[in-house]
Amino acid sequence: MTRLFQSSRDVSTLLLALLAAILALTSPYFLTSGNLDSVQIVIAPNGIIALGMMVLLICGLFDLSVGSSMGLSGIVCAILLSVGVPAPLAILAALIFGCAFGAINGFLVATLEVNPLIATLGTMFVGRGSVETLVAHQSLTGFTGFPENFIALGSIKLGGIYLMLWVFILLAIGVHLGITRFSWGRQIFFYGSNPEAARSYGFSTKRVVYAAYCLSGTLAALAGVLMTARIEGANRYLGAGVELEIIIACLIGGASTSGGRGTVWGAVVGTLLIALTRNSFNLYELPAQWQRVVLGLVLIGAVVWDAGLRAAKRRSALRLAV
Amino acid sequence: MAEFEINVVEAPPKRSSGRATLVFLREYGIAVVAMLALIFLSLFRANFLSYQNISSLLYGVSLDFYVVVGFTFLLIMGEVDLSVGSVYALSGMTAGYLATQGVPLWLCLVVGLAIGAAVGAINGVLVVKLRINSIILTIGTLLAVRGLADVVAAIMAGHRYSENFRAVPHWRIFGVSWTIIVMFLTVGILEFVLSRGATVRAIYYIGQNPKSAFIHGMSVDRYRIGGFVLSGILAAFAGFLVAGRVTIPDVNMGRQLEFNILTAAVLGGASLFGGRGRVLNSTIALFVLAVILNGLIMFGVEPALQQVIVGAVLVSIVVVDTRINHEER
Repeated sequence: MTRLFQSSRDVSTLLLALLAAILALTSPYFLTSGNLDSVQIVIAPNGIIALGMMVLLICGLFDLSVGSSMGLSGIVCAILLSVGVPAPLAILAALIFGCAFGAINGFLVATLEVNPLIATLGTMFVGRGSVETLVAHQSLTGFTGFPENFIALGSIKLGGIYLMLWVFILLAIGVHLGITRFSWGRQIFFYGSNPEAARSYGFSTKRVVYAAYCLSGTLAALAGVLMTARIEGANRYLGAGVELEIIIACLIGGASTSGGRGTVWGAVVGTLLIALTRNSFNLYELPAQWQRVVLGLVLIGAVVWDAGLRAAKRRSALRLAV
Repeated sequence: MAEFEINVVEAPPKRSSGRATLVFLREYGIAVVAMLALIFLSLFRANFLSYQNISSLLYGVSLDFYVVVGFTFLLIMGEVDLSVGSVYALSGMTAGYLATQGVPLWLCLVVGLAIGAAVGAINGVLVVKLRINSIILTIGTLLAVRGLADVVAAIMAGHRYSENFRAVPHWRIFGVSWTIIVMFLTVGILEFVLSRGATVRAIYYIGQNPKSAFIHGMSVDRYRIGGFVLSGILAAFAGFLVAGRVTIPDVNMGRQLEFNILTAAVLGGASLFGGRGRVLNSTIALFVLAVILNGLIMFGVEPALQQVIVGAVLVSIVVVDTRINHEER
């Protein structure tokens, strides 16, 4: 029993099942196709970004700029489409852009050794300001009017599930296999739990940091492209504030801010739990302002839980030493 | 009696001209940049040096200045409080709401400050006692408190704050806004009286070497928690004044204030690694930021670019801070 609840991931899984059951039993709208569709649309982009964030957190790193990367890449894609660039090329360009955005974070953190929180706080600011600048003279809806094949990306369903959710599922499986089955993926756990040891064993730690940030930036860009296709436009609100939700999802999914811990399953569970929490606010027509209060309290609860686990570990290590 | 090995705090500095330049830049750089910006703008923009413009810049700084004081003391102790912008909004709006309901002004102020103190105490106790990274924890309180501020704004929607509440930030002494006078007095007292006192020196000592401060019998935890409480109270006080100035409950009040304040404090020489920073320099840096943003507007730069510039300034000074810190190790 106690062993099962060692990780906040298990608690979250239980909460997720409970919440889903409660919603299904008490709200007549929860299981309607319209509502499930809207939940899918929230889960897919957030989940895709959460995969990158989870890899970063396992490395003991952090990325506050994912929302900006998502917004900026979506707008880059939209601008290219609006000047007539074919959809596949525009998408590719947006992904490369996101990867470059991640590489800048990697440069700041790995090469200039800046505190990852502050570095990505700065790039978040720069990115968000660039979004505002790019859409400054656009109407409130931003860039619209895309070719059919691009819009299809956001609306096609295969077997009742949106294409973008399939993308998320495939990516989740891919990242899971990558970080558990292959030595190049598994080394992030080693790096995250003890960067000094990883360095002295001859791992190229800089390469790990660059790769993790590039992955996170690219996935955020992919989410931005998918959302742009979904809402058929790119505006200033694309990805705004999403970073905190993603970090909360990963932390309640069992990642630790001190690195070395985390699973893809945890990122998925965390994302689902946050999406359902938000959905329940809509279903019960609770005022939107309280969503933030709840999310903030969930984050505080998650870090306090994390701190409690670490303290317990310290104590048991002390007992062993004595 | 066990002998502890104690790290000497004031290690003899390695002498080299490159290092001397860096240290000079760190100590006086902000004053130099301030002078250059002032000279540049007064040469190229005629109305920059007008009494009107300078006093409105100073007035704006004198309202936000309280936040940077608390922030600087926390940074000196190696902690960060990102919830200041939300506390500022929640306290200011709540006080304004109560004033509009006919509650006496002093009680509104007390309630506002109590909210700030409570959030600060929660931040402090959780960060210090549970050893949580203060940046992450205060992001949580930032979100939760912002949500509460939005609730107050929604309750107040469409109403203006009461007359007496709005008047407070506009009180004048000898034709000068009282907040400007209080700012100069506070900085003067902190810089010339308290900086030699035991409390302020203890704060620096804790930031430079918490372990040795602990061994020397300082209640390190109590100072840190006190720092968070002070930061909350000061943010609440600034919010009280600013809410009166903006006249209506604005959901954007204090949004991203924490980034501007962090940028100002680090620009003023405070270090994310603790042990360094001065209230005087942070205040000058806050003024410099205001001057730069004012200058951008005067040169007709797109307002949205301001964020890009603040972000770029933040990243570049943190890079410099990190470099200096590496050299010293």
